[in-house]
Amino acid sequence: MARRNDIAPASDTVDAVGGRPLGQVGQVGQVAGARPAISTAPVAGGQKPWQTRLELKDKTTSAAVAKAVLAVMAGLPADLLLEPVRSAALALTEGQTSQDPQAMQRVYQRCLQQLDPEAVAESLGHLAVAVNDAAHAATTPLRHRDEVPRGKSDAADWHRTWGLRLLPDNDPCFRDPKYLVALNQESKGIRATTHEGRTSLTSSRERFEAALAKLAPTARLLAVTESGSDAVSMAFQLAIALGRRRQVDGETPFAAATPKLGFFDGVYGGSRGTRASLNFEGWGEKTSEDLSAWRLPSPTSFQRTPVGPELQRVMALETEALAALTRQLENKKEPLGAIFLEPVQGANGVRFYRTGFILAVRALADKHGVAIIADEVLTGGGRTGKMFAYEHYAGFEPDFVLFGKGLQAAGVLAVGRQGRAESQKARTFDLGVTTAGGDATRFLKGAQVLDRIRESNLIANAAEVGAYLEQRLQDVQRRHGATPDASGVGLLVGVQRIAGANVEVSHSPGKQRDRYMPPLTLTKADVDAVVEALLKKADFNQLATEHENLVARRNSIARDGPTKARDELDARIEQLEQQLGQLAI
Amino acid sequence: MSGLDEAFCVVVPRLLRRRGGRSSALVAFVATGEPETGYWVVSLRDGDGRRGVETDVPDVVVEASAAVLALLLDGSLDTAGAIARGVLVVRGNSSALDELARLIA
Repeated sequence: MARRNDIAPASDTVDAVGGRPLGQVGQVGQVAGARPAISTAPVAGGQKPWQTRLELKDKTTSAAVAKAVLAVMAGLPADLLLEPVRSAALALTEGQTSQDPQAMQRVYQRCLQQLDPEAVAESLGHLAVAVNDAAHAATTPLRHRDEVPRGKSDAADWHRTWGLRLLPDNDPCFRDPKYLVALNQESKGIRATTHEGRTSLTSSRERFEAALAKLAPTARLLAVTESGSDAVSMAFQLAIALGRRRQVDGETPFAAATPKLGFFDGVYGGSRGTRASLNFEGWGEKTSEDLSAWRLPSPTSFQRTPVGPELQRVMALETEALAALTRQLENKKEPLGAIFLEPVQGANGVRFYRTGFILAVRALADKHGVAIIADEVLTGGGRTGKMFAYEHYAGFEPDFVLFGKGLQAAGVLAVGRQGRAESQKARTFDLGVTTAGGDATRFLKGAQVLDRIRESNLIANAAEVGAYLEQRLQDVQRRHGATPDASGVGLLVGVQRIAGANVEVSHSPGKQRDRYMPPLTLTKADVDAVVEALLKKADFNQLATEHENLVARRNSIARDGPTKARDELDARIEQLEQQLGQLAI
Repeated sequence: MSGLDEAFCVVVPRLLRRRGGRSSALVAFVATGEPETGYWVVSLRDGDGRRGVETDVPDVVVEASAAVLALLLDGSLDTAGAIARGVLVVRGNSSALDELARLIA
């Protein structure tokens, strides 16, 4: 029978942890045997703490003072306290901290009587995180090869991570104890998460789905994959399954065929296996099977609303594309199973379709019972100022959405669109089964990202700050004497490379326009800071060119040439050198 | 009933029951003095908290003065700083603390 023990035993002599005395148990982030370093020295002074009037701004002053008094009496340094107790402790003078056991008992009881259960839960979460951090600090860290360019902060990394971040790494949501504790727990287990959730429906997957449902209520998580590329691979698989169910005159003529995936020119569509890339040379196209027969003309433009000759060009391509799509849809020998559509072509320099064209594609697809699969790997999660980029085309919905990158988890979503044919809906096993597809820890991170985006209204922020970024980038282009072509949706903005622009921020994948893909937490002040740097660099380059030309002119004037002209040039050169010195970055 | 009795025998068990999760871990809190001493265990299996006894074999032990534990529970303590300075000592298997935090979160 266990004996109750009212008085705490000396830890290293009586208690046992894991069958060993407490004192022999391995420390977590602490030196073994370390004792609390709390001063017990009496503090001089006769005035009682509760007799002192403190002038604190916070109205919780009274409770904070009680806690501060308790801390000071216990010899706890103020820097180990959190606000507002820290300020209260700092406001206490030496004379106000007398060592009076009865007084201490009173403030102690008061502190504990006011315990808020939620605060207790959060505090113990902080404790668990702090203990883990301490344990990690005591180990040799793994070498981390950061993708952020040297000298650049994470917040200023607007391209190099390829849109992988919707939030900066140091976002406060990633220090939430609830999240970190759950992450630590998941990392210790092996949680299988098959695409249908049939093997082990984990709480982390449920968390992700719940967070997703709040932002995309009509979407259902159909499959999870290791990456966005794997999700694109599934588009081919879906095309086969769906195409075999297409009906023509009440029959299923393609039941035994291998239906194809039609796609528009310019989509990235990076996937795996023999279909590594749909369009881009160097990104796997050379090792992909030839899919060119299924490539459709791409009536896209850098302009969101093309006008003039650009509109004529796009309209001509639209006609061509719809005709080609109709031929694919009516092809009986090699049937089409699905249409692959990247609503905003990100890798292709940020290009847009016209809404009328997208709706025409939707109508054609519905006429033939063919599904549309939207590639939102880069654009999903609010980057474009809407949860998904396809929402920018009023009245349009795809049947499936591929997601990845910034959402941290990847996979396929089914969109609950009204009036779908059977060949536009997925069935169980259409996408096969994996024993342990997906990653429970990434679901947790994805849920954390989605919650942060929703709770902080970051989609609206992306729309507002993105519009501002677009406008400011156009300012830079005008300053350079270039045609202002910066265009985008939300915080996905394409811009022609500006000579002398800060290439560490803006990096172009080849011949396309540069893309700016900053975190969704970006503020207008952040935009101003980067744009100012771009303008500064622009001015620097302009002045440097002028300086170079003037020096060449002065050197060309003979030594016995007109003094006045030489003096004027020297004066201007000196002025330029001063300006350049001020602009030096 | 002391202040920490209330915390470990009432508040934390209530949080555990609210979630209803289970784990076999046993988490101990030791108050080394100022202004009280005591030894409490929180059983994640039973969803309960009580004064500890000699035969308890906790997975993890959190040890500090009673004042520090009070400030910890209240949310006024910089836990990382307190651990670094040795004001708060945690020994044993930290997974048990994770379990506790997860179950009451």
